[in-house]
Amino acid sequence: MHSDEHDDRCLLYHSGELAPEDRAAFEAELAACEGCREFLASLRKASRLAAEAAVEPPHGLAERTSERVLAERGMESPPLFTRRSLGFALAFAALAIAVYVFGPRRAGEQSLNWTNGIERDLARTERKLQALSRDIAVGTDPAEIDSDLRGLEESARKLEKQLL
Amino acid sequence: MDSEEELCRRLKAGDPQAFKELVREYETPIYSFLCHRLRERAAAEDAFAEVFVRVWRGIGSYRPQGRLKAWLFTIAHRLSLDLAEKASRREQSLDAEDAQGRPLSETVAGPEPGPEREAIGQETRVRIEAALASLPEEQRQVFLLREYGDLSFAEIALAMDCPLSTALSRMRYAVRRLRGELEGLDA
Ligand SMILES: [Zn+2]
Repeated sequence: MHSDEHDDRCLLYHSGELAPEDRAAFEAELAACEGCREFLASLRKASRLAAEAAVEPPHGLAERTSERVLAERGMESPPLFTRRSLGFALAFAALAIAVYVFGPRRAGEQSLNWTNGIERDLARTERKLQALSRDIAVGTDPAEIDSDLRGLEESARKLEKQLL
Repeated sequence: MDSEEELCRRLKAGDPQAFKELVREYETPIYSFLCHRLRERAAAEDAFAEVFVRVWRGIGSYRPQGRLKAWLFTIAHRLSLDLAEKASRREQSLDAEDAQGRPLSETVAGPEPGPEREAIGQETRVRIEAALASLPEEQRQVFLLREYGDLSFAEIALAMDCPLSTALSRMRYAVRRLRGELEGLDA
């Protein structure tokens, strides 16, 4: 009796995701199941028509795009989000926090404005750190992680400038 | 042609030539995917550029566990989700008339007919586009990733962050629905 499970097997057969032995078994059973044959035919037809409905890109799209991207990013664009740059950002953030907590100015609390500003920046840096570790944990698009990372690095540098 | 591994190595080293090859190789599938996802030629063109900005930006951290193609289409898929979300927010605030509900051909058609138009004929194309557009959102996403990205269902499940069984059932419904919509075409 044809079932949803049969349809799924047709899909995996068509996408080449069945193991060789399952593939052979499926082919042997195919002749016996009208539903499978029909579903497979529909799948092939939809697939063929979709291929025919591919949209021709405007002339020169690839060239324009790669030139634009390369110009924006620089020809020698270094691979981003390397361990090195992550290390920098984290080291800055850690240093900034350490200097703030244990540094000499802390004892005097000379200026309320000064500490408020720093605290705000620290809180911001901490939020960025949290966002970054969450993105890494859920396997977010590297481009987004990269942008988080740059934000973090920027805040860390700002903090460093204020503190050191 | 270079093996994927070699291309990947050159991309990671920041080789601009390798990047150009990559964009050229995926020009039609990514563009087609985006056109059918966004249903507007201008939006698809902008999105196409944005996909490759993200690719070039992210290539350094890309770990080739799967196929490069699956990674590219995952980026294109996520971008299209972001854009769809933005568009629906804009629509809510403006309630503007836009591409929604109109056949893709109206918004996708350029001034000059591409060679593929002559190949299958405008009427057939409109039927196919309307059929694809009639699919519920998630079914359409799976179908387009499968057909234009040539992603396996395992790759689609990863890209969509759903179980394999969900990716399969979405495709199952899509095929059943398309069977009706495409009745009489290209028997
Ligand atoms: Zn069956």
